[in-house]
Amino acid sequence: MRPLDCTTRTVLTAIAFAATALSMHADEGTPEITSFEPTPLEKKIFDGPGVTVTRGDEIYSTLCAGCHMPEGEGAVGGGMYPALAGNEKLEYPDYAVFIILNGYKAMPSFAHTLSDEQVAAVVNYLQSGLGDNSYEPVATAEQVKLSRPQ
Amino acid sequence: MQGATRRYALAMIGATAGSAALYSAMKAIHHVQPSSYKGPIKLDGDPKGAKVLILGAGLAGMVAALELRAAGYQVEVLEYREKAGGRCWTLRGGDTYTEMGGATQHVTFDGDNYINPGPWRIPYDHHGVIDYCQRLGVQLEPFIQQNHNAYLHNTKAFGGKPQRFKHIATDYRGQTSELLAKAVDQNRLDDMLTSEDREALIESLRATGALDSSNTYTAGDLTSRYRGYGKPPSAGFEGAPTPSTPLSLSEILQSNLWQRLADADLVDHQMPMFQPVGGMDMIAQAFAREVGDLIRYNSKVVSLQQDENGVHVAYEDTRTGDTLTAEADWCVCTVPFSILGQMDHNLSPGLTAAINNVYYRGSAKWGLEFKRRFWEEDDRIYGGISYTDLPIEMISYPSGGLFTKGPAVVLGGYTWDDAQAFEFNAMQPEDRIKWALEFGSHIHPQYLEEYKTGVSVVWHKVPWVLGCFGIWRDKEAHYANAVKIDNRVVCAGEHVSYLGAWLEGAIESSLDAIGRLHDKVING
Ligand SMILES: Cc1cc2nc3c(=O)[nH]c(=O)nc-3n(C[C@H](O)[C@H](O)[C@H](O)COP(=O)(O)OP(=O)(O)OC[C@H]3O[C@@H](n4cnc5c(N)ncnc54)[C@H](O)[C@@H]3O)c2cc1C
Ligand code: HEC
Repeated sequence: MRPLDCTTRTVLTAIAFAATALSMHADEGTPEITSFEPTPLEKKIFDGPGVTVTRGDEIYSTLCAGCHMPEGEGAVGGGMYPALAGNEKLEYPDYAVFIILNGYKAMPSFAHTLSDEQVAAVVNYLQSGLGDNSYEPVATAEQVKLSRPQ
Repeated sequence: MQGATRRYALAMIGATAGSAALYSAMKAIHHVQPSSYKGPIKLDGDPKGAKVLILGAGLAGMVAALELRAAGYQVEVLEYREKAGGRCWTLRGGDTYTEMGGATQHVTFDGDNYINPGPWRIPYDHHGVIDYCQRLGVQLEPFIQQNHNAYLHNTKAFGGKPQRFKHIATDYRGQTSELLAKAVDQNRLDDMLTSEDREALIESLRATGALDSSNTYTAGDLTSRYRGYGKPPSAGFEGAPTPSTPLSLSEILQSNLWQRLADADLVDHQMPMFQPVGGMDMIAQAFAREVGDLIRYNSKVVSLQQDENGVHVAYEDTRTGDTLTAEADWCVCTVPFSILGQMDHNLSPGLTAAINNVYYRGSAKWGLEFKRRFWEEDDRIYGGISYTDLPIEMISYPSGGLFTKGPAVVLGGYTWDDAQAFEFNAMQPEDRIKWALEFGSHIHPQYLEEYKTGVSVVWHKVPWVLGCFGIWRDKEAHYANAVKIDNRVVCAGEHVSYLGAWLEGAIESSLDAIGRLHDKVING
């Protein structure tokens, strides 16, 4: 899909960072990482225990994207992760809310990881924002609260 | 004294009643923990050429292949990967790993350096793993789990400065012993203790806590013999040592550094632990030498059907894209439930519900190669684990190759915390490495200067498991249905055991499954 060469990317990232915040020094021509300044989103991720981000797109890209992939395109290997971009099951929020709270098969539950507000925010992002999805984003924290497994 | 008496009693029983009596007597005295592994499996009776199809060539699949072929079955194994071992896996220089989503890492470790991205340590009482290692000629060496000179680190304690394990452990034990000894001495626990036990307890607390004759844990020669001296004893005119100063109890309590003190006391973390010399996949390679000829690699099973005539499997050759089929009388399915649940199958409703009940835990691991063993040369840490409250959770130093010169690989992090494992899972490999270097440098300032290369594996992105190990949402309700032979198919693997997330679980589950399957074949 998107083969990246990690080594090259690290070096490239290092060079890109060097212009701003990452300082490096050359040893036999190999640039090395000597310090690291995280991006604003990266800074937020580890700013305290649990999931610290609150916006739908941020929750998606820091949690869900690991399986459903950054653009919601899904992935296939020995098993698969379903695409959420262009997924018609997202027309109404109820299905996504249920799956996120209860988990389903290989999809873990996020009931204890995310607050009602965070679940609503990420579902709204799935409905409208992720890929070309453009359903009406109507999930609410109240709805999530009522759907939580007892 | 007591030990000698007990040994003498055992010798008497042994001499008069034979070794079976000795064993049960020893068990009664809690000397020997019986393992559920009963030694090499015996599968007597002629299966008359029955064919078994094994899905997955991890340890569960290869144990089944080895033992069933030996028992006279026709065996065929289908494996998705290009090599055997499944999660029993090692990455070395020259290896390439492509995760879900397509990001590819090229491992550029020096020489024989390696990282075990999955299993890395073997408890002494995992008899099944150890027995197969011996039978298949896999050399084991000590895995250093516990190191008193490694660090405990909390960003919010001691000004973020890592503390030596021995200081926290000794001072914590000494000062809690002091409190308890004083409480007993001041008769505050009289209602809980007899007077003989009060005396013995105080004596034992002095001995184990390094307390002085007034039951105090204080700077001096005695406590320094446990926690280390300020100026260590040496030779010459200035050779005399000076004592070190204990940390205050309150500081230790508030630091949370006590959280990991008992880690190596867990029965499956107790020393000695073991690792195969050269990497965990030495076990996989040894099995593959035995049963490799039975395995068809690059074969992704997509459908599993059974009826009164047999088992019918469809699989894709991942190199050519062709869909092929395989038939057999019986099937041992070791495909992780995360993937089996996505397959087209006609397993019974009970087993289907069990499969769908399991999801897989996430975890991230890093192998970071540094130009030299600065943890040994500068910090005098030889193997073992430093723990931190940072998201990398720990740094583990190599147990092998101690004192050698040149580049070496540390485990740069091993996360379990759900939120953090998900967050690392969502990152691209180069960002994960950056974070591991950033966090690790809080403990070892040498990190950035000495870093050479690295690789990281986040288990939810491992294409052939989709996670680290199986977790049951409701094990009580579904476990028996997963164990049960479902007409012609029996499931096996770490997930079908109470030893989940251990190699031993995969092996014992496989032996249990094929034992019952064989019984069904022979006796109906
Ligand atoms: C991070 C981590 C740390 C661990 N630490 C330890 C440890 O220190 N000590 C220890 O003893 N254990 C440890 N374990 C656990 C140990 O790795 C597992 O319990 C064991 O390897 C599982 O073996 P298995 O045969 O059940 O499954 P696997 O090894 O996963 O085998 C399943 C096989 O099925 C194949 N497969 C998947 N899908 C398909 C398909 N569609 N078609 C065909 N084949 C398919 C896979 O490629 C794989 O080869 C650890 C595991 C992890 C992930
Ligand atoms: C560990 C990997 C993983 C993570 C992380 C994950 N999912 Fe999933 N998700 C899955 C899998 C696997 C499925 C498919 C389950 C099935 O039907 O077998 C799935 C299914 C879904 C579905 C239903 C899709 C369909 O077509 O039926 C939705 C909606 C969903 N996930 C949303 C999310 C959201 C939102 C997040 C982040 C909060 C998230 N997922 C995080 C693995 C994951």
